[in-house]
Amino acid sequence: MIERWNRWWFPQSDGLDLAVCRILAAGSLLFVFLPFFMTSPSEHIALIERPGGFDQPQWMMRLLAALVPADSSAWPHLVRGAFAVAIGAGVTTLIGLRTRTSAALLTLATWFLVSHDGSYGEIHHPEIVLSLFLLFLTLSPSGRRLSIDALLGGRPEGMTDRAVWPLKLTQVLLAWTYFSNAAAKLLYSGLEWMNGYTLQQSMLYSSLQWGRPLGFRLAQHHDLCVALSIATGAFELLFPLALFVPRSRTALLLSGALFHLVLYFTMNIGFFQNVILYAVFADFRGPETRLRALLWGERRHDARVEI
Amino acid sequence: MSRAWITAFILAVLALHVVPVAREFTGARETLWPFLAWGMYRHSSTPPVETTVHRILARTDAGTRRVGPEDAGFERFAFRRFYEIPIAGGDSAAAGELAGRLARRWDTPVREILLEETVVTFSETGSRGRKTVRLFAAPPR
Repeated sequence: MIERWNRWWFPQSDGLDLAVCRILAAGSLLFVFLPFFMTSPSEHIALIERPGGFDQPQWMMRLLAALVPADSSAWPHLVRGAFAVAIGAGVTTLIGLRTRTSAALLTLATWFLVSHDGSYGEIHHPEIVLSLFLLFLTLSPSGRRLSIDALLGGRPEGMTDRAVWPLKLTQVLLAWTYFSNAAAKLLYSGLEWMNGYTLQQSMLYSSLQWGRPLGFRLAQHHDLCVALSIATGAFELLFPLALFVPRSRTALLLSGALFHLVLYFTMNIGFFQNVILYAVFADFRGPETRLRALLWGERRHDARVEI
Repeated sequence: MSRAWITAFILAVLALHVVPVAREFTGARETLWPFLAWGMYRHSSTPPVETTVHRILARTDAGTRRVGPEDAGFERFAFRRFYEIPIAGGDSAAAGELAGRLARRWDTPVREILLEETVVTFSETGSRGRKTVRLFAAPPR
């Protein structure tokens, strides 16, 4: 049992896959999610300045409020500071400079921003798995490859058994998000959830509320909504197969990307953080080997010319 | 970190994800981010397919214009929570607060807040909408 556990979570690795995922996570947070999908600094400050304060403070806000009272004028500065830290630490995590410290700061800043936004009565799911992955980066050798740290310290020799568990744990969390969602639908509504009317209703509301004309058009086709509901349920239920059946991964991950694209353009529900994190299922050693072979080939050719 | 510590950490993360799902069956809605239940949109619907959407408009001396989250300076969910839902429920204080906020941001007096409520219904013959408008006079400033 213990041997199987260790084989699953702690296989030997050179850390390349983790490094690529670190770059994708930090890069997407910096260039996509912070500027376009997450609540902006001025929107955070509007929440702070609104009378009444926190509605349902998240645990992180409750902790902070014990140090800085909720009505203190310091909160706008805390928000601006968190954004500055997120951007600075995002860059250093991306390039792998003091990687784990940078990832810790990026985690703190991101968690602060999401928790603050979610302390006024409504908390949302899209940042959850990405935020946890950032935490995993702080606890693992995430700067071992493709980093300034590796360049300055010399490329580490050999393999490590600590560079795969963050990827595996993120895989499990992704599978959990889909599977528990499907299970909740089946437990609360049974197969009725796939009657087509459920999706028509959700799509009709979201398309009108958030201005998605494509959703309004699709919602008018009951048969199509039945098919999309069955496809959604099947995808969410089957996603855990990606953990254990490597051959199923390509189909499931492509379905997932398509699922999130359709959700975004019909209902304005953006879960692209999960799509970016699909990278945790990838094996980047193949492409790297080919790239190295290509580069080595060029170098040998150059050497021949010099001779 | 040793393997034992990592193992404990992994188990803790997984357990913390299972707890909110289990607790939901007792009726509790967890708010311990990042450990939340994932059962969004889990309730089924039956016909008729019908929904109600709201649009907020503001009347100023220059005319009437639509009010979106960016006008109030809030993110879209916060705007819906603070203004759209209460005003749709007839809360004139929320309408007054919004009028004051818009007046400050636009630097022009806001005379009235209008709530446009549209009930959209799908039927076999297509979609149908019924629109009503409610007025909320802005309190004098």
